Amino acid sequence: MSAAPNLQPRRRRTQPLRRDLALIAEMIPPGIRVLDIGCGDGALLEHLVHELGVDGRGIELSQAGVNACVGHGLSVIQGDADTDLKDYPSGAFDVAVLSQTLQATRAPRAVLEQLVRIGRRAIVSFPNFGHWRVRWRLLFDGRMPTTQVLPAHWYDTPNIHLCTILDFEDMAAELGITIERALVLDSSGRAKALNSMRLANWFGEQCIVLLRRD
Amino acid sequence: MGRNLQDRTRFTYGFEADFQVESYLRYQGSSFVERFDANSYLYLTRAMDYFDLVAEHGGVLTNAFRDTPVRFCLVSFTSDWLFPTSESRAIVHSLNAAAANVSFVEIESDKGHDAFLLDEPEFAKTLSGFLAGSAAHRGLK
Repeated sequence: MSAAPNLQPRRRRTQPLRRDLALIAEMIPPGIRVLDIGCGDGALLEHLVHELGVDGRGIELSQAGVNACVGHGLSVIQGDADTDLKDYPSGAFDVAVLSQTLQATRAPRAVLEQLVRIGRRAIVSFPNFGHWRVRWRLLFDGRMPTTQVLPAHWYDTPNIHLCTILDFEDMAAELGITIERALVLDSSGRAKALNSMRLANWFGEQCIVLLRRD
Repeated sequence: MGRNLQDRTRFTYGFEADFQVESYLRYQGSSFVERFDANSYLYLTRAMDYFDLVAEHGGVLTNAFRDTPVRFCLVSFTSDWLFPTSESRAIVHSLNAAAANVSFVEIESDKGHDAFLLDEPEFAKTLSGFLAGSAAHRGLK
């Protein structure tokens, strides 16, 4: 090898965490074991490991994302939430995180079951297809809605299994999963705890839930 | 490299190194012969043939990794036919089943198995990131 590798860790990212990721981080106590599924470029994982001393691992589908993560010293593997979660032993992690990924999986129900099996708790965030702007677009425009949170067109979206907050609540109940905490983000990024699921389903653009299997 | 011609503009149809890959292999071969006893290669290849980690652990690779404190990093190259990505992935799955700490990266390269000897910036970046991360974990700077 001609170039001697530079063994200094690459400079940490300085930009603040995306709002929904920051809210997820607030739900995670320091020092625990966390698996971040669909960890992207590792922004959340890096925060958890460096700021909270978490024993963090990641799975990411895109090779570019994985390489960026490992280059930053994070323990991340290339893998697929749909196929690769079954390998992990039950209760291997204190928390399994799935942020903005559930709606892009082939079998969201099976993925959710794996999540609460691997993690003693799970944190899931997803875009809410029941948001008033989405409903408005479909009702008055008559076309598949595109919004800030869901910018892709119907033909190029990775989101093949979109749901509303009420849909998610139903599925969790069917699977015997308890929603311990739920937060919604409105379009200006403000977080609110849910009082009424029906209201949240109109005004929440994204939803973050903390789950536990009974 | 590969089928490009070595120091010539046409085939000689002889047993000289017409192709760059032949020249490369000859160069490696002759430098190895000067550094090592050729017999050591016989022993090494036999040792590799007899080595079977799975058999040593009841037919389950995961058993080999139970309660391991080691941080693992697996790197494969897309054009490596000797240790293909699918085999690395099988090891990663076994490590996951033992809840081991593992990183796994596949790197795009047309250099084949010897890519790890060459200047592959993505490989250097992966390795330095992994080593730095492991050092930081141990409290080393």
